[in-house]
Order: sequence, then structure tokens, then C-alpha cells
Amino acid sequence: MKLTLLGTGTPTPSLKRASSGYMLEVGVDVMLWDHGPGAYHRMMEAGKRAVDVSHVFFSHLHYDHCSDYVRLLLTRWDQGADRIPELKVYGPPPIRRMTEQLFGEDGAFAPDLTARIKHQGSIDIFVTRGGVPPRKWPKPEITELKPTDKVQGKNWTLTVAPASHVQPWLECYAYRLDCDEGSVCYSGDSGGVAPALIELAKGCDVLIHMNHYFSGTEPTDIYRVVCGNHEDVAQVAQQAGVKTLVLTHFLEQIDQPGVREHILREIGKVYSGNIVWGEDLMQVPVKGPKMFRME
Amino acid sequence: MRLRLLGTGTPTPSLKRMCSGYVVEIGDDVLVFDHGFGAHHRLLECGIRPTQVTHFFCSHLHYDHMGDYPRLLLTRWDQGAGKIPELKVYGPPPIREVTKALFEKGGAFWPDLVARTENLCSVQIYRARGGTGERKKPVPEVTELHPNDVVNGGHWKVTTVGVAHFGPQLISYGFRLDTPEGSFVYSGDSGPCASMERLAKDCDVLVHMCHYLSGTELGPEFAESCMGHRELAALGAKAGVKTIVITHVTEQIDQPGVRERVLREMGELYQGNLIFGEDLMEIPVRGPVAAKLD
Repeated sequence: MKLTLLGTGTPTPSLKRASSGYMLEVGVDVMLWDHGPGAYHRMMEAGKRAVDVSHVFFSHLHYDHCSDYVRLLLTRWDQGADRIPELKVYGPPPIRRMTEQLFGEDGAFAPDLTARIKHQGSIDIFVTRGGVPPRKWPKPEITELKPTDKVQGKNWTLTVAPASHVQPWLECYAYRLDCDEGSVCYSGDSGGVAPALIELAKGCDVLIHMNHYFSGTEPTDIYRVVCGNHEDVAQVAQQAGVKTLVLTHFLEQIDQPGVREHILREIGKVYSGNIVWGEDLMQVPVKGPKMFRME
Repeated sequence: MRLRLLGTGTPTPSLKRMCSGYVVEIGDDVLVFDHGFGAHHRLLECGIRPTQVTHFFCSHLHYDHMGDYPRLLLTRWDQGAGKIPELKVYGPPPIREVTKALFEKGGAFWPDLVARTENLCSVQIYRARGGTGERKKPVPEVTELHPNDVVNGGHWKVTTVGVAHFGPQLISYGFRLDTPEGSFVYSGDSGPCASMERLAKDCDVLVHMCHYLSGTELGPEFAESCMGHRELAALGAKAGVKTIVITHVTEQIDQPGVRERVLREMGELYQGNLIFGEDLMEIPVRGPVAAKLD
């Protein structure tokens, strides 16, 4: 089991932190959790190709969590040349409608797909990649999840719970994956000290949690229960008995020399487990940080 | 006053952390503190040209602290084309001998210097860069420092102390820079010692070697010559330092979760600001400020 952070940023454009994206490798499965702008670039930097990806899970449909879906799906379909299974896609409604609007026969990318399927030049490329005509339209296997669903993989189980974010405008989920090698929970975008998230994260090895801003600087009370902040995240992690807390979804406000260390210190007063300040391309030690010998 | 970290690593090769180097800009002066391998690359990434550098302070003569001295001096001289003052170089003995062995007759770069000053093509380039008259070879103004020496730069001063690192084979110094805009102390490489504690008294920023996890030292000599995280926190607390910047970071502690543990344990002993240094980081000399949420 391997957990790599692809994007630890926000919608604010940044070359240091791409928008949300996480990659979990379990056995032969390569799962993406969210795939915001820039996450795909990081995935390539992490040495994975689109065709290697088997599953994608979206926590919610804010663009900073899903806009690289287009790049992933089209590239995977094009490079895969019918030799790989369709992408398995999971997320809250209306992920099915969104997929149709992007890749359906009247969708945004229908002209591209039509040309790649019909034009002889594209068919020739398809054949050189090992495809056997006629070339098929991509049909991702969409599963719209409900907030109490479970998804059963070959050697893993994924559990869904509601996050505390921008409902009812968007359905927002948190996820937890359990397998023999460990358990990883992801808050999606979530704020406050949310009981459902604490329940989901109970005793997990790793909790990846949105830490959007510095507690106390929220413009309103509502903002606080919608976006993660360090004091609330510390409470969630402590109450859930999480072994390692990975902080992510950072605004520039807190990603400053001395400010991040200040936050780490304050979280450490409330939460006694391991803390990891996430960075793009970081491989997170699922069973906790290892100590190396001095050499 | 602007303080940036150029290299926060060790002799171990790394693309993430270059060997030691720091740069301070005060008024028109650009002071480089140590210049190990890769630090010059970072200097360029900061947008600072070698011709802008006025002073070089070398804490000691381990190569990870001065390996890029030739690059700095030669490029500065070549690009400067006789239009800028000689580089002012400060460090422990035998920095004069080292400078000679690099740039004087019989030195490692003498053939290059002869060619660049005597070959017609090179002289033409020199003139195209605005150089006039006969092209002269570089003659850096080297000052060998002794403990407690003070270098006065007008609107700033640098104070020198001896520190605990790999003596007697090498002499190693810590430096303190005082300016009206704040004070910056640099440990060079040092284990725990009383002189650093005095030097760092009440300073704004202490950039200090944090080489290993306390308790994993290879032996007592190692612990005397290199700094562990707990000892550094104790030093910061005792000296009343406002901000500690952790640098000279080994892979041992530069791991997800380990660096946060280091910060947590240091925070138990030291109440001031902590900064885990990174190459190219600009240090807020008056302490970190949380920006408004937007």
C-alpha cells in the first residue's frame, strides 16, 4: 500500500501546490482520490501513467477536486486503445450527469471523440497502439455513491461518510479505505469538528484532512464549519484516535515560514499522534514515520 | 535587511538541499555567509548576480561551506570586468592560503586566469563588458579572522566567535550580524558551546545547524561537534532567541513525520518561533506574521 500526495493546494493557482489529488496503490489497483487542476501533472511526476489508473473517487464536484478528470479520462482512453478496462468512477451525484456532459455523444468532448474514432489517421494510431477497430467510445463505469455506501474492491473496502462542506449545493463526502496493509481516511473538504468524520476516521492509520486556514481568522461562523482549520482538525484527529494526521489543502496564509511551525506546535498540544505537513509528491508512511540511523 | 537561505543541506549530495549558504542584503551590500556546493546555483535562483556580492564570510573550511567559493570569485571577477571592487573575504586561517592555492600564481586556477587576461579574445570580451586598461587578475581582499574580531561595515557589523566543530584540524566560527533592521546569528557548524550562547543572546534570528536527532549521535566527539535538535532548542531558550531557523539538515530528520516530531520536541523546550529551513526560503527577520485570510 502506497499513498502519494499529488496536490495539497486550493483553487488558488500555485506552482508549489497543485489542487487536490491523492493516489493510493493497493495491490494491482491504482486509485485516485480527487483530481483537481495540476494533480494529473503530479501523477506523471510520480511515475504513473493514466493507463495505470483503475479507480477514481471524487469527494465532491468543486473544480479544484475534479477538473483533471477530463485530462485523465481522455488520455487514458486514447493511450489505452481498448486494451484496458474502462475507468471506474465513483462520486456523489451528479457525477453521472457531469460525465455525460463531458464525454457523452452530445458532450463537450464529443467532437474530439468523434474525430478520433472516425478519422483514418486516428484509427491508424489506434492500431499502432495495439487497438482492434472499430474504435469504441469511452464508457467510464460510473457509480453514484450515497453517504453510507461501501465499495468492495479485490482486497480493500472503501467506506463513504458525509463531509461538512457546502451542502446542499454540492454533495460532499469523506472516504476511508481499509486493507490488510493499513487504513487511510480522507476528509475531502470538511470543516468544524464533524461527528460523522470522527466516526469514519476512528483508529485509522492515516487521516488526510483539509487544513485550509488559521483558526480564528474565519470571516464568519459558517465558514468555520465548512473549511478545515488547525484547531478543529486537531480535535478531529485526537477524538478519532488517528495515528498519523496529514495536513493538506493549504492556503498561502498558513504556508509561510514560521506560521506552519506555529500551527504544528498548536496542533501538537491537542493531538498526540504523528503529524505530517503535506507536500505535493510526498509519499506518506502509512504505518507512521520511520526513524533512520545517523550516518 | 533581507535574509535568504541558499543551501540548507550537508555534504550528502541532494537536489533538494544544497550545501551551506546564506545571503543577507543590507542597503547596497550583499553578504554571503558560506558558499558550499550548490549555494551559488541558489544565489542565481534568488536573482542575485555574483557581481552584486560585496562580502563573503566563511565559517570554516569544510568543502560543504566553501566549495562554491571558486565559482563565486571567478564569475564575479570575469563578469565584473574591473568595474567593481575586489570581493572582501573573511574567514578563519588558513583562508589566505586556500585563496592563494586557488587563484594565485601556481594555484589551481592560475592557467585560466593567465589565459583570460592574456589571450586576445578574452581581452576583447573584457573590453566588450566595459573593462578598460590592462586586464588585471583578481586579488580578493582576504581578512583572516580571530575569535571576537568585529568587522565594521558602516551600517552593520559582524562579530566572530570560535565554535565547537572538528578542532584542532579546522578552526570554526559563528557569526553575528547586527543592523538597525535586526540581528542575525549563524552558527556555522557547531555542537553545543557557551560561545554560541553568548553570541546569540536576544538575537532576532538564529540560523543553526540541526544535524541529527538527539540520542542517535555516533559518539561523544560527534555530539560535541554537531548539533542535535534538543540541544539546539535548549540553546535557543537559554539565549532568548526570537526565531530559530533549523538548517544543515540530514536525511535522517528530513522525513515526513520526523521533521514534525523534531519541531514538537523542540517546542517543548523552546518558546520562540521555529522555522524548518528550506533552500530559497526568505526568513521574516522580525518573526512570522500570519496573513489575512483571502
